[in-house]
Amino acid sequence: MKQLSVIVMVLVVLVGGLGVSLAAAPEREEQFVYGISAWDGKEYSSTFSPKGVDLYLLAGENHVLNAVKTDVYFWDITQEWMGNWMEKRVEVEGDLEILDASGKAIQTLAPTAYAYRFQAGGYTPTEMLKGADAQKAYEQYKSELERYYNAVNAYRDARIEYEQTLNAMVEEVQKTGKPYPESKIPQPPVEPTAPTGFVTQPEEAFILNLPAGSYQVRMVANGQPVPDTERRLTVFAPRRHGVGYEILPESKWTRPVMSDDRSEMLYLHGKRTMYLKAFTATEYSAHSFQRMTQAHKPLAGAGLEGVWQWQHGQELSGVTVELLQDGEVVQSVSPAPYYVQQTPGYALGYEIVAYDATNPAMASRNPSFTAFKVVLEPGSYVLRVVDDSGKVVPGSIREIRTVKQQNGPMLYLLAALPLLVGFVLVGSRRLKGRSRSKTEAA
Amino acid sequence: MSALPNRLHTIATITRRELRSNLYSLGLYLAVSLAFAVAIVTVSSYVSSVEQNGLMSIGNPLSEPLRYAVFLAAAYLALCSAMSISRERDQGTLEVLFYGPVDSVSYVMAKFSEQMITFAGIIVVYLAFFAIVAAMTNLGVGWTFFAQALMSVLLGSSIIGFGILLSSIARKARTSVILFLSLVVLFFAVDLAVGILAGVQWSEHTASPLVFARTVLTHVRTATSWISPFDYLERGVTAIVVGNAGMFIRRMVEALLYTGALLWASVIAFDRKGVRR
Repeated sequence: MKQLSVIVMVLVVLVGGLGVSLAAAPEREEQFVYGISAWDGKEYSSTFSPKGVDLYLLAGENHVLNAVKTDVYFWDITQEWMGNWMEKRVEVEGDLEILDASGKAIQTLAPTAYAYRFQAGGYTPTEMLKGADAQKAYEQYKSELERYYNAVNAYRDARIEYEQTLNAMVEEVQKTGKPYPESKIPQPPVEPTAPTGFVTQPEEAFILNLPAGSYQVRMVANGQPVPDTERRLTVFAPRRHGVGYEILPESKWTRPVMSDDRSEMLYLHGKRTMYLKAFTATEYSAHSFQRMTQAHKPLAGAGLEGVWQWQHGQELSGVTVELLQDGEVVQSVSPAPYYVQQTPGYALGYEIVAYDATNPAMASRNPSFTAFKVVLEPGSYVLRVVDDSGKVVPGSIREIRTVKQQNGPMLYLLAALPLLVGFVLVGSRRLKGRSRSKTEAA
Repeated sequence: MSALPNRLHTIATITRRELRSNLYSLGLYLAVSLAFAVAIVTVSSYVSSVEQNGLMSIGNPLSEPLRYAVFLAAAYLALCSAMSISRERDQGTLEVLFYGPVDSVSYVMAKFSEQMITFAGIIVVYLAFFAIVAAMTNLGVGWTFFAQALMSVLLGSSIIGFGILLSSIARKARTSVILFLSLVVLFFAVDLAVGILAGVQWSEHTASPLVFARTVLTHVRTATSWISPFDYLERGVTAIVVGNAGMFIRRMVEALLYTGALLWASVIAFDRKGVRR
């Protein structure tokens, strides 16, 4: 028994040791990397380019590049390069030199101050401010924040005073039994609203904005290239622009139908209610786009050369959705907030209703979504988006058609028609041939 | 008479003879019926999907069926070309024919023009068929559909030229047919595999052989895209969908150059191999 327990203990130690050796930390290497904050048409997405990894950026847009040294390691579990940013982040001094495909230096960029603006509730920046604008926006944000905190303090004081006054009035009413006239009851103080959005403190980095093409980038210090900082840079342009629709059918509101390409038609069956959202949409090379947003992931974009993908940008605002039938506008819809209400009881079910903040059932709740509600009877329509000046937004036109009930047997009969014609032609020729042979023989 | 009118006369005579033969061939009607059936199955699947889902966004629902139908008709005609030239050589008919005023250029051109006229006729029949299908289902026929039909004639020329080249190279009818079918299957298999792998959602858990396969197949696809006649149609259709007239013209010129190169190679192969068994 003692022997057995010794064996078990040895095994446990061995297996434990093996486990420890298997879970060893990945090897780290100090590398020069480019921290990339690339504008993807909707927001700034972060990635980085370690040694030997090319850069991809959208043409004609501002992108942020940081030149830093950090410890880089490959994290096998998620198949990506990682930087040990928290423990090592050394800014590399110098300027960024951009060379064209022939190796000629075309631009040298000095670090520029920049700041990001975050929308309320957003986790990724949607706007980049540079130079003096960045500082100005940050100062403005700080003063707004200060104003808010001051207002909060004032509100707290006013609230205490209000409650004290109210308590005193209640006590007096309890004593005297005489109610106060309504005009003498004080109004509660209004709670100040927090600033929407957030602006980061300005920092310095390289702001790139290049036309489509192949380039090389490298750091230069004192007129000399900094070793290991060269990277190939592909700046790519979109193939097409348009309007993308996210269509929430009333019966399946969590399963939206997407329509990005203007050559697509929307097909319906029966009467349908749907909720549309319209976005700017841009078509990019799937390979380049994924390499841009996930440069640190070696698998991103692999094998996607020649594949194109649509990317939704900002939701269109200040627009109206129009439905036309035979060239006449039959519906003109503005966006409105909607609330998805679960039906009472245990059975599954919901109802999409117009959002009403004063309705107790929706009080202190946000709308489920904001969209253009469209109700379609069977028929053929044209859908389009018009801006506030009444102009049709390019790429927004879609044809809508209601499919007819399937008529399978008739369709398959149509398929047999060429064969029947063939039988008749070939048969009649053979018959003619035979009769000719008989005549000749006679 | 000078050489050119003589040659044209020869081409016209052979073309007429071959057209008559095609018209009375049951295989042609069978191929068109098969193409219709495939198209109807595809159309029906679209319609039933819309019926089930209530709402669908579809690019051009008749484009895909037209593409299948065009592939079937073009492949059938290319197969006929591949078989007929090799068979005529195999049977010694070609040798007898070349004792007359027939040379390799007029023979190859006659074979090509005969198949092209047949193919153009088939496209006209297809247009009528799809017009009826569109009326019966209310599926849309846009201008892209007609542009695709026009582009299909060029695809037909590429595939037929491809079939003629293979039959000019191969001595036996069986060899040219096997070669043609093998290459068609290869082009389709590569295309299909790339399409399936491109649609796979990538994550860190995706097996690395799959990633490797996608990268390798993409390179193979890039290489075959300049050899496969089907890719000339694909590129043309893309230009139509994108709505880029310049790209569309470039694709048409590419397809014409490709066909011209195939026919030129066929004539050279014919001259080298000779017309004897």
